[in-house]
Amino acid sequence: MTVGTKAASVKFEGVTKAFGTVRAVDTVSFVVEPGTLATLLGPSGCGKTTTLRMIAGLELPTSGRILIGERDVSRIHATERDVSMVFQSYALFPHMTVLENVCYGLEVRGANAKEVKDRAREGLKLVSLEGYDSRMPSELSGGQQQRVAVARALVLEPQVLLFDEPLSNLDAKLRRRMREDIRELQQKLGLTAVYVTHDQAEALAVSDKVIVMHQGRIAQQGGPLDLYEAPDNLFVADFIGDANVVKGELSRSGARDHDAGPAIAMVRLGNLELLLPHRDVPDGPVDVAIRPQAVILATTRPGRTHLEGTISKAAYIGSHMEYEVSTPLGEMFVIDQATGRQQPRGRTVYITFGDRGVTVVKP
Amino acid sequence: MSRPVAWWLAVGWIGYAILPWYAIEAGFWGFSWLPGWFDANNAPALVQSFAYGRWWLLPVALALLAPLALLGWSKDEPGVARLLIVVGTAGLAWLVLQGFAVGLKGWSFGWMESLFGPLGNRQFGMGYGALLVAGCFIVLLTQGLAGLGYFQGDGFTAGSIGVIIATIAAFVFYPVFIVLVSAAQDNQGNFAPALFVSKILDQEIWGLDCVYSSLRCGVAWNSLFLAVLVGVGTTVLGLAFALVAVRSGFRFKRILRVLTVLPIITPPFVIGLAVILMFGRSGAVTMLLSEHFGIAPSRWIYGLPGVFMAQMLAFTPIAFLVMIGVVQGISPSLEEAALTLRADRWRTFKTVSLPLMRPGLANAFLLGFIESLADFGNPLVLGGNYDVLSTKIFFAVVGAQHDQGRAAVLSIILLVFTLSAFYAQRQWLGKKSYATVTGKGDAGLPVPLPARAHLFAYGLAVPWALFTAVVYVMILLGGFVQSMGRNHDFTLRHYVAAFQVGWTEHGIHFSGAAWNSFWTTLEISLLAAPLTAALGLLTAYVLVRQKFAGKDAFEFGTMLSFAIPGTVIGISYILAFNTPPIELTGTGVILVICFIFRNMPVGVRAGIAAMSQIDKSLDEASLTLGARSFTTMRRIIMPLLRPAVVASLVYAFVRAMTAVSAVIFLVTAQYEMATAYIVGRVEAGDYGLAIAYCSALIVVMIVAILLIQVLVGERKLGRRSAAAPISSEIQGSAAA
Repeated sequence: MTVGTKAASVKFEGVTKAFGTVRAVDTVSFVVEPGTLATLLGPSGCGKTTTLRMIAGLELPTSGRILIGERDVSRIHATERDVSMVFQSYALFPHMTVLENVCYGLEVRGANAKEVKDRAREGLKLVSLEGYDSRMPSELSGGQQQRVAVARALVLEPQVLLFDEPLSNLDAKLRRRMREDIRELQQKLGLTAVYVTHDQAEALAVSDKVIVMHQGRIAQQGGPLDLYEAPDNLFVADFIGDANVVKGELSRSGARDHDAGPAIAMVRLGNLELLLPHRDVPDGPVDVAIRPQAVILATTRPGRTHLEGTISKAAYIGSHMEYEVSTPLGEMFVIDQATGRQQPRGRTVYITFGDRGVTVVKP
Repeated sequence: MSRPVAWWLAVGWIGYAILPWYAIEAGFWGFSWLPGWFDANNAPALVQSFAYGRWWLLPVALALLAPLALLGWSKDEPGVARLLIVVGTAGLAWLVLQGFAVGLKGWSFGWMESLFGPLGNRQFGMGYGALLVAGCFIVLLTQGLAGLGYFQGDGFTAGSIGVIIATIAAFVFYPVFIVLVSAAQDNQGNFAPALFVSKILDQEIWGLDCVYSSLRCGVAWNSLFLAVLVGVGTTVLGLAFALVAVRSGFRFKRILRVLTVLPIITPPFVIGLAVILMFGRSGAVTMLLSEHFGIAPSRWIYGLPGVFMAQMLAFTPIAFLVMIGVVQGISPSLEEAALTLRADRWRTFKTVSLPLMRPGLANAFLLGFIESLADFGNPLVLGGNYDVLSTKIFFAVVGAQHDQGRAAVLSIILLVFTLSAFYAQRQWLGKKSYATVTGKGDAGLPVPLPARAHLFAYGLAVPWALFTAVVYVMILLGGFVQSMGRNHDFTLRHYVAAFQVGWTEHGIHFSGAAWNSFWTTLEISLLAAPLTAALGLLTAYVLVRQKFAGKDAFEFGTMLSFAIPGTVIGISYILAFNTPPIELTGTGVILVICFIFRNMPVGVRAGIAAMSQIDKSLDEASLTLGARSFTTMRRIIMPLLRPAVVASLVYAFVRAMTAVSAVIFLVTAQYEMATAYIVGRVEAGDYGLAIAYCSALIVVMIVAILLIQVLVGERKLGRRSAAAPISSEIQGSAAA
């Protein structure tokens, strides 16, 4: 007996959830394709958990439609949806053993006792917890509890599996391992999964698709690469990875279009001129997001156009150096991998930018 | 159509077509109606409407037929939900309408008779058939609402809320409403606002003669004065006890804790009785004083002094219970901070500790105030000429006056007093809590009491504790002596008189005078306790776990009956349930219902407190795993709520055993309750038997409490006894 899957898509059509006059989720639309993992990412209070709970049926939308597979579930209670969820606090039933916890969902759906036990053991095996049947949840470590919670959700072979910040109670090392395990399991079983987190690194690491939410609305959705390299707006640029946002001037006239690749425009930052994809931004003033890693510091004047700045803060982090540099464009946050040559405070540096990690931001 | 709808529709049809529609005089569970099933008194509604000309029951059938059209429809269709709502609402409305419109004498209202002509038919109180049909309509309506996405689309929650609202409306709001209405009527039932005004402004209620003359003051002032005295007194004593129990090195703390249990298992008037046995004209102390000091025995104890003393004894433990929590809640770090800022211990106590306790003190005062106003037993046995509202209400109905309108007016005044205090407690204190217990551990050590506070606490608490102990010894011993005060020879005659058991050829014969009321009390209490606990916990579940519009009003409604004094409940039940549509007076059912709705608020409180400690994601996990709300409740919440279940069961049982104020209006010769019987014995001067019976009751309650604890059992958490290593574990597995 194996744990299979009935993976289905999840579709939101203009879904709004209001609590009183507050719109926790505001006209949100997205699709999660069957067998993929999508992440709802955003700061606390952005509506990502409410969105997840609406998929689960723990909250019903105020307006809009939610479809799981082909079925409209907008008015259907959690119990009657084929969705299971892994909770932030794991929510293991403290008065039941590990096996009883995993059996619970199968039992209440009325499967026969023998089959229930077999399936539950199969589920525990999937998360490498054979032999823990009769332990109480309180006798397990945090990571083990987490895996019991995953097994409990998996054995129901749900159409959609939901994760509500499943790793936030684990320490940093365990967190990395668990997220890899979850991703591996999801891909192996071909599950549709929706995953909530406020940790952007976690989101980028596990997702096929990231849905960034901000103040109840979707700020941007797309693959991890799109979000990082081509943020649609300042919020996304700043939330996913750090970004220095500087004012620039965009003009298409100075640029030559390549035959292949994206359309290029000339962007002027102070006395610096960069050729960047214009991303359909009209000519004129523009915000430019610069990743801290894309800033190259030099102590000798480079040959090409550059900015001049002064180190105002320096910190040694171990794997890299972090600087704050005063430039004509404002304070800039810089990450320098070269820990061998540390720049002291007050040193004058010459700034150029790398090929990747600089992008114009849509208004 | 969903399963619950189909199922309840079947229930509705059973109620309509099979069970007797009207209440059966001899009692439904006697099944005397079975042989004469087709009779006019016993027939179901279907037969009633065709064979006995009660055509107004026919539309009910229509409402029950309509949902059958939905057979085979998917329940996801919004049309289905709308139809259920319409049918449920219409059915309920029609049930209520016909119930009130047609009574024992045909049309209930004169204008209906003149409009439609004489009816020439009549009906009695509704019975189990009607009950099932009403239940069916409530379920149809709430399932419909859930189907439209209200209450998170959860049918169980919607149904629970529907049932709770319906029952509270029927058994709390409706009776109170009837009291209000009857206060504005003369005793013939005519609307008489002028009479109402003159009654409510009566000199006997509001007179202030005692201020400037030797005449008595109005009964309202008497009640208020006593309540303020008792409120202040119990608060001061409670604070003293709490300081001794929490903040001192007192060696007998555990004995002090016993004090907190006593009022729960003591019938309220027993203290009054013990006070009479000590200080009455022939009481033990009075006799001692007259023999050794030549102080002539007098009746000084009957009146304000006696009632005050008895209520202080009875209600100080309640204040103690409140104040323990308050004193424990003061963060030692705050006091330590004051000390490091150069305040000495007395200054710290005066400027930091006491102000932090202020909301707690106000809370204890209001509780004592409400309890004193609502107390009926002690003023009844000790009041003498000092009339208070609760006893006046009783005598207005039971005494020679038999003036229901006057009783209703007095009830309204009493109700206004207690509700104002209740409202003040919730509105004013609810927002102003200085609770300093937070999730963070507090490393501070409690600062020892300053000498002055120490002296105050010990000086009050220790003598009072001794006095209380003496009182309880009197209660236990009183039943074993010939006549307290006069003749202290050992005897069992009181117990024999009350609890004699004989053997006849038919087996055991309970020939003692108390057995009849004893068994009734036990039976009613055993019936009421689980129902009370169930309704209380269900309400708590809905309040803690569900979000819905109007939740605050819903909560206030469920807690309201707590602030309604027993005498008011008693009179309101008599007024409301003496005639159709709900005709219950003289039955055991009315006693059970009375207990359920009087004691439910405490079950709700206990449930809310316990449920708030259980992580909400546990039941959400259960729901997403496919368990219905009911299953979740049974398999997840209940096992984790065992302590609250025990508390509610114990409380409901014990309160039913000891209640007197509401019950005394509702008992009959057939359904005599122990407390009412004892009060009768006290009034007849038969103190020995009364006190013997009380001791027996106390013992029974202690046994019952232990039994319940064993039956319900401990909750199994499998938690290691050492501190939990991972923070998430605490979140996941609910606080102990």
